[in-house]
Amino acid sequence: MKWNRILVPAVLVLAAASVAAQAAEDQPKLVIGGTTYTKYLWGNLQYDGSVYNFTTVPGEGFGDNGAGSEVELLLDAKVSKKVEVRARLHSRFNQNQWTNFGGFGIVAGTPCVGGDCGESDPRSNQYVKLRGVNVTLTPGYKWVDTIQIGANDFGMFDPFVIGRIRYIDRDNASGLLFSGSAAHKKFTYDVTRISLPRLWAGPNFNTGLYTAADAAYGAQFKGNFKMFDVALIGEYVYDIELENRGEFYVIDQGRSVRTRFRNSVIGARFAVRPASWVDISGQYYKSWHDSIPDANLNGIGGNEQAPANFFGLSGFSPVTAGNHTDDAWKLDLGFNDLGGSGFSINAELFDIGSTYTSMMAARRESDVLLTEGHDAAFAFPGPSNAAFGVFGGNPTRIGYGGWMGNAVQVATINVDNEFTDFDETLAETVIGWKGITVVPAWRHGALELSAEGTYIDYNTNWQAFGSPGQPVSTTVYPVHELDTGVGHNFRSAYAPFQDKKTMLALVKARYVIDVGKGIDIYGKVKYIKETDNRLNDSKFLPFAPGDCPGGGVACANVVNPNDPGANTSGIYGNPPIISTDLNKDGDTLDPGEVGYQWKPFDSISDDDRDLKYWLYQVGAGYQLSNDLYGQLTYEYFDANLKDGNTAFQAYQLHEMASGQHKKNIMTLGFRYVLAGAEFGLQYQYAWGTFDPDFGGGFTPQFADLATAQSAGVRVGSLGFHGRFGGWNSLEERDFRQNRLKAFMKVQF
Amino acid sequence: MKKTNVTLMLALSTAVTLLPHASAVAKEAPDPATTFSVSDPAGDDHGDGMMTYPLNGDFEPGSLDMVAFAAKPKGNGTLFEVTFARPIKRPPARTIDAGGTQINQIAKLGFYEFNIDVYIDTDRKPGSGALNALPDRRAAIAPANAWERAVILTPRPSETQQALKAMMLRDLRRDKRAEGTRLAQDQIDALRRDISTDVETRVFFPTRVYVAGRKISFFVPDEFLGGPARSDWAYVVGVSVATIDVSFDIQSKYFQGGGLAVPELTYSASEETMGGGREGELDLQPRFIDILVPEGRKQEEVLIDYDLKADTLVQLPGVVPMAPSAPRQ
Repeated sequence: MKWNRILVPAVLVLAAASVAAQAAEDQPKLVIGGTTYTKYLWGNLQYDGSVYNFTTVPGEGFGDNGAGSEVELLLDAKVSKKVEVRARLHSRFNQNQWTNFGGFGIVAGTPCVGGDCGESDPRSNQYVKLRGVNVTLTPGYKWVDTIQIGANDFGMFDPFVIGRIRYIDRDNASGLLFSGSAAHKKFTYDVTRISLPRLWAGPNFNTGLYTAADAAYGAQFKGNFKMFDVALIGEYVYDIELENRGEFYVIDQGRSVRTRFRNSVIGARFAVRPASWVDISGQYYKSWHDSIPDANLNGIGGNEQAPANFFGLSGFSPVTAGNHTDDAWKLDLGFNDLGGSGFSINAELFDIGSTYTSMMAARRESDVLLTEGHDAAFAFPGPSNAAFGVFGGNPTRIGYGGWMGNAVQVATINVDNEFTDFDETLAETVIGWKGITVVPAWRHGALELSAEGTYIDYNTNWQAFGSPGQPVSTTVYPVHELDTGVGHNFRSAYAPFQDKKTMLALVKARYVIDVGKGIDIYGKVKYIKETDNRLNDSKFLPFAPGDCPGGGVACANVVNPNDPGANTSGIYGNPPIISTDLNKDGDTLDPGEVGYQWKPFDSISDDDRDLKYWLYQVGAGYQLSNDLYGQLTYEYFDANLKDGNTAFQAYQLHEMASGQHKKNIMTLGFRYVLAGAEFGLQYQYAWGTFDPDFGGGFTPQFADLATAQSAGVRVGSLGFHGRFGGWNSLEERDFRQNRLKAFMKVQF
Repeated sequence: MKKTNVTLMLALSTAVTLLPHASAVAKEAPDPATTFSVSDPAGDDHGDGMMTYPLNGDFEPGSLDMVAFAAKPKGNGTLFEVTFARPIKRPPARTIDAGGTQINQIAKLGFYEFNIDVYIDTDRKPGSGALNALPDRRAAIAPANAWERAVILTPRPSETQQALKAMMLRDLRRDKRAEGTRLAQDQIDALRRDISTDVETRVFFPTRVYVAGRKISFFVPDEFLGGPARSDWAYVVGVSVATIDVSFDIQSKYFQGGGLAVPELTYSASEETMGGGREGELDLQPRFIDILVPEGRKQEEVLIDYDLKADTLVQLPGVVPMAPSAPRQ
């Protein structure tokens, strides 16, 4: 028989060979392996800053064109049964496009973006870097199973407390990790000291000037039983600085240190499985943190600001300033395949405090909530996914199409989507979210149907940042990109005024057509209804009633006497009087041609938000051959958004997005395996329109040449200049984005 | 070593008479539509008693603890169902390489943590059929249950199937070369075709897979099994941890130490490897973390029953869901 002639001997050979390959297991050995990646990006944004689509890190490049390669060498040495060493030597895509001609190509006098620093900058000289050095000890003691010294991704903890941090190098972080167990693994523990990443793990995304002693300490104890599990976890983060206050500055007996940032978290988890079809689990965490961002001022008697004054209306930091205590919890119920019917239902209650803080919580790649959340096609405030795009020089980075799919949720404002491409998953913060998600699902044969209903209220619903006596232009809250635009703005949890509710509903289906290897067809309809009254009390209006009488009469600028100290006149300033020859008859005498440059902020409805958002998705995937898988997806987004009028101006920091958004995205993907090499390709075409509706009460302007060149609009097109000089176009905008990513991965 | 194995296998195939009879854990299916349902003890997701999960946070005790194996006719095929002690995790949106590949992009079937091997003895003739599990499972099948068909549920079926073919071809060529025979190109091409045909005839990688809670179901067509699954066939069922970021390069399996979609076994678990390796025995220790065993046998004893002196792998017994006295259909 052919079977006996061919396959059986072959399998036997494999078994024997495998044994032979490891016969020398007891001998110390060093094994070297490697992986090489080559990536090709193409897109019509014509960026060539790096071989990644996206970053917000100042000074780093982003691009949608170019090809680059990188390689990593993996070293693994089993010194003995009790000692194993691992390390990697890794180059990076960064700005190492092939056009750099091997790491050369300096262009004098230009910023180090796009590889133009050649050999003088490690990001463009094809450098190879040491990464991931880890020694694992297995001493054989009863009290400890393993001791890991060095690099680790610390993924064995908890995304609410200590989570996976970053993917570019999953093992960026280094520390000590002790793991042990008892009673046949019924009880396990992990205890760690992680050296605090100075790149981001502190106020203002740094850990100050004195960094080497900063650390995060973590401990986790788990008990696993047949019907239930319990776990306790704790974390303490300590960022210190050298003492710089005059009364403590003594150096003869060693230097004193002081706290810049402290963060404690305790938590508990449980899971109960009372029957084969029931799963119940819950998690509770409580955090404390004290953040003194200025404690690193380099000088005697550092001039610290009060935390309440630390951030302006657009502050960036992974943590709020000052001293805060808060908690986070969630409860999950799952009923699976009820009565063998194929019907399941899962539900989740959640409440994430507005200042719940764990500095080492997962920044991406974890999904702490059941809900699908927002879609990554709308990741930034502007209609084209630009942040601060109202000002010239801030075009969209990721592009009109955004990222693919829906976002995953992480329990931190320290969200990290840096150095990603459009085909990767976006992470969004859930700080402040509270609500419920219900997900019913039904499977019958080749058909899978599921739905989701989610209601989200917010712990961050407040007026004047919850401190009415404090001017809203100074706050303890880092607001990042704030809360305007169609989407959620992935790391924005705070806004000065918020009265928001979100409802999310979706139905999705998947069906395998019994043809060939099975054609996988899928589709989804998703609806989001979101309202936010923002400033909802007239006492917070910036100016006195009737301050701007209209009719070409200038505003009196009398500050609202009822303002309790929030002083919104500082952010919602009155407009000047302008004149525009709107009907182009050579004069400005016609009605509406003389008036306010923007609508005065004189109503609590001026900043109201009302979003009605629909997504329709349909697609199919098929294993075209044993080596090749293909997938085609079409998505249509229809978002009707009222997001304040010209009085609000998206806080005059971003492009206004009020109006009708119609976005189409067609994505074609392939994966191909060829004898040890894996290839992938994603092509996406995104097109659509934005028809702005910014309301009335102001006199539009025509774009002059300077405005046109700065804002990228047509000379003579209608729009208006905002408080900070930014330009918002009033004309319908058409978008077209083509982009492609192809990559090859070979392990050797 | 190969000859030793072959000799031993042949000897065992004649020595072993009949399969240990139907498992007491087999039970009449409560659902009349179910062909059979076999339960497995909870809390035995530790292989030979020592094996531990990788430390990457994806696994908890019980994650791959198989508690039931069932089959039911479905259309023109059979729907096999495996139930675990814990809900099956959906593939996360976690990036696994510098190219930006995410687990949920390549694990398209709704699971990513495990492989399930099902080796089916359909003719119930001792010694008739194949005696080995897939490469790098480090296990053999008891000759009494030599299998005619294997169903391998794995997160990346097409890639794993291709890898299996490539590994077989490479090792056959290496073996021939060791014997002093160099194969010509036409011989290699013929061998490649034969292997491809044989793999596709004898080993099925399901692509119609359904995940709900703790249960995973996978469809196997009648044309592969020769008809609906029967309760008087013998089934060897093993669960192993899957390497989702599997390398399909032939050489790298030696670096990773694992192999065909299974991770390396080391003395103590790490982020990427399973723990519980025994000093001097790593090459013989099975990679299954949970298997189905017939009544009277203990999983831990079966999985440690390799022969250090003879350098032979464990032999996994099959389970026959229906009592042997029942009439064959």
